[in-house]
This record gives sequence, C-alpha cells and structure tokens, in this order.
Amino acid sequence: MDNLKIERTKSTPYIFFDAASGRLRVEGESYPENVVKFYTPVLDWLHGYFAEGADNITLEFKVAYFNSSTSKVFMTIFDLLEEYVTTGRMIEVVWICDRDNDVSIECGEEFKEEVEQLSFRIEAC
Amino acid sequence: MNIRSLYLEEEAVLKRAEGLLMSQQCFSLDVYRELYEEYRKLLKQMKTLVNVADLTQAELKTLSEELGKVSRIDGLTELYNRRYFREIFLHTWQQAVEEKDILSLLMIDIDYFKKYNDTYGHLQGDECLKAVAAEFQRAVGHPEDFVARFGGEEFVILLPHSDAEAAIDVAKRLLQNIENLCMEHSASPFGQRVTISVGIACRCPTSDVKPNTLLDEADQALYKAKAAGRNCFKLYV
Repeated sequence: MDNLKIERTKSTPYIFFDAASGRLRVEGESYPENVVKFYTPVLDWLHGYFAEGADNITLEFKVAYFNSSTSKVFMTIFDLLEEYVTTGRMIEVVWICDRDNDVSIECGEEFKEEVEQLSFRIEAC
Repeated sequence: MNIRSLYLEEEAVLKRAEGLLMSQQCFSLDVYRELYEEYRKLLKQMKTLVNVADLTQAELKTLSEELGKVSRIDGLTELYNRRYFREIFLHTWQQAVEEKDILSLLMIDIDYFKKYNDTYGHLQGDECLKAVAAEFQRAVGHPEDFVARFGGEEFVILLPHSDAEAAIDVAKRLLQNIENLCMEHSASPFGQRVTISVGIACRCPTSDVKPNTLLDEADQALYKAKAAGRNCFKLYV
C-alpha cells in the first residue's frame, strides 16, 4: 500500500502515514475551510489500510491548534480505531503536546476519556 | 464509516429512528437498545466536542486580552504607548467637547538626554527612562490621569477635567519627583543630575478646534521651557 503524504499548509496539518512501519503522523494546525474535504482521503486511507489487514499501528497527533470540526473528525478516527481494536489489532494513539501548553494537554485528556479500549497516551514534552 | 458528511453517524441514527416510526410496527427491545447505545455514544462525543471547544475558546480569549494589553503598552517603561495615547486623547477630547469640560496636557522632555546616552550608554539610558517614567506615574493623582511615552525621551500626561492650576500642580510634582531621584548626569549643568522640562497646555475643547491644537500648544510651551534654560515648566498662553 502506498504511503499517504499531505504537505502542511497554514490551516491544515502535515500528514504522513507510513504503511510499512505503521507509524501515522498528524502534525501542525488544523482549521481547514472544508474539514470533510480535507480529511476524506485520510479516512479513506485508514479504511484501506485496515482492509489490507494492517496491525500494530501508532497514530501520533501533534496538533497545536484545531477547530471544532477537526475535533469531530478526530473523534470519528478514534471511533474507527476503537472498532478495530475490538477485533484484536494493536493500535496506539499518542497525543503529543508541549508540556507548557495546558490547553493541549487538557484536550488530550478529554479525547482520552472518549475512548474505552483504544490505548491513548498523552506525551507532554 | 466514512466522513462524506461530518455528522454521518448522527444522520444515520436519525434516519433509522424515523424509519422505525414510519413503519408503525412494534419493534423489539434489541432494536431500541441498539439505537439507544448509538445515541449515548454520540452524546458523549458531543460533550467532549463542547469541552474541547470551550478549552480552546478560553485560551483564545486569554491570548486576545494579552495581545490587546501588549499593543497598548510601551515595552520599556510599561507606560501606555503613543498609539493608545492617541486613542484615549481623541476620546477624552470628544467627551470634553460634549460636556463643555476642560482638559490639560503636559508634554515632558528629559533634559540633555542625548548627552546622557553618550555619557552612560544606551542601556543606562533605558534605565533612566524607566526610572523617570515611574516617577511620572507617581506624580499624577486621579485614576483618569493618563501618562504615556510619546517617543524617545518625550512623555505626555493627559489630565481630564483639570484646569491650568491643577496642571501646574502636577508639573511641580513632576519636577520635584525627578529632582528627588538624584539620578547622576555628569553632562548636565543642573547639579549634574537628571532634570526635565515641561510644557503645559489647557483648553475647553470645541468642535471647531482640532485635537492636535492642544498637542501643538503643549509642544510650544515645552519649547519655551527649554528656551528658558530647561529644568522648569511653562504654560501656553
């Protein structure tokens, strides 16, 4: 499967999903004008990746600023991952934030409460 | 599951509920439970969404307030800056026009400040500006009195509802406070201490007079104070 790479813009994050290593990164800021349009290829890629039987995945989020629509998409992603975790796949989400950014840490904690079986780790560095 | 619509799942739940209602048939507890579970999950998601949005909004509000504050303050002296002075001055002027009130303006210059910088260096020059600015702030009496750095070694003090007599009192306090500072200035002829010159202008603004007039008059008075030998104040007449 091909990697997914989307370059960072002012309002959208850098996306690099490495199919071989299972390391998927979302990094930057996210307030796209059309959040559905931007994240549809991302969700499509994830669906395709899991359909091919992908296992042992780490999804890293390092998103300093995001709008409400983006957080809805993030939760849709977490929901999708949670579904696959229940089928026995090894998936971990890492929410990476600046240790001085209390808001980002708190947002990570909110998302963490949202998931039940999915491993969700907050890494403040 | 995909995101052709951001609220695809919510719409699907609604559609299913509508379908059940339209069918007008009894449906099993299992169907009801399934719908209930989905609704519960989506409600939880919505609560998270709102919490996250609130956190972000609170942060933006704080940042916006900090930015607003920073944009009004002179970074060195922590007095208000010229931009904000202009805003307050125009507002105060307009208010005085409407209320037929009096206001005064003091324009202040540190005497021989270029020589001070040449003698002690710019870093010590900054310290001098900070110390002098603090004394100016201390010299004003009313909460509405407005002290600002006008630029370089020039400062302004706006005194709403104040006549010439009140402005002269403030000017005397300014001169006294700076004298009491006893800040060494070896290149100054005034006892080798830092001193200031003050120009005062006082007016009952009217709509046919431009606000800049008061600034010009205070500036002219300051020029006279300097011409009179500095370390003094002059009132525009």
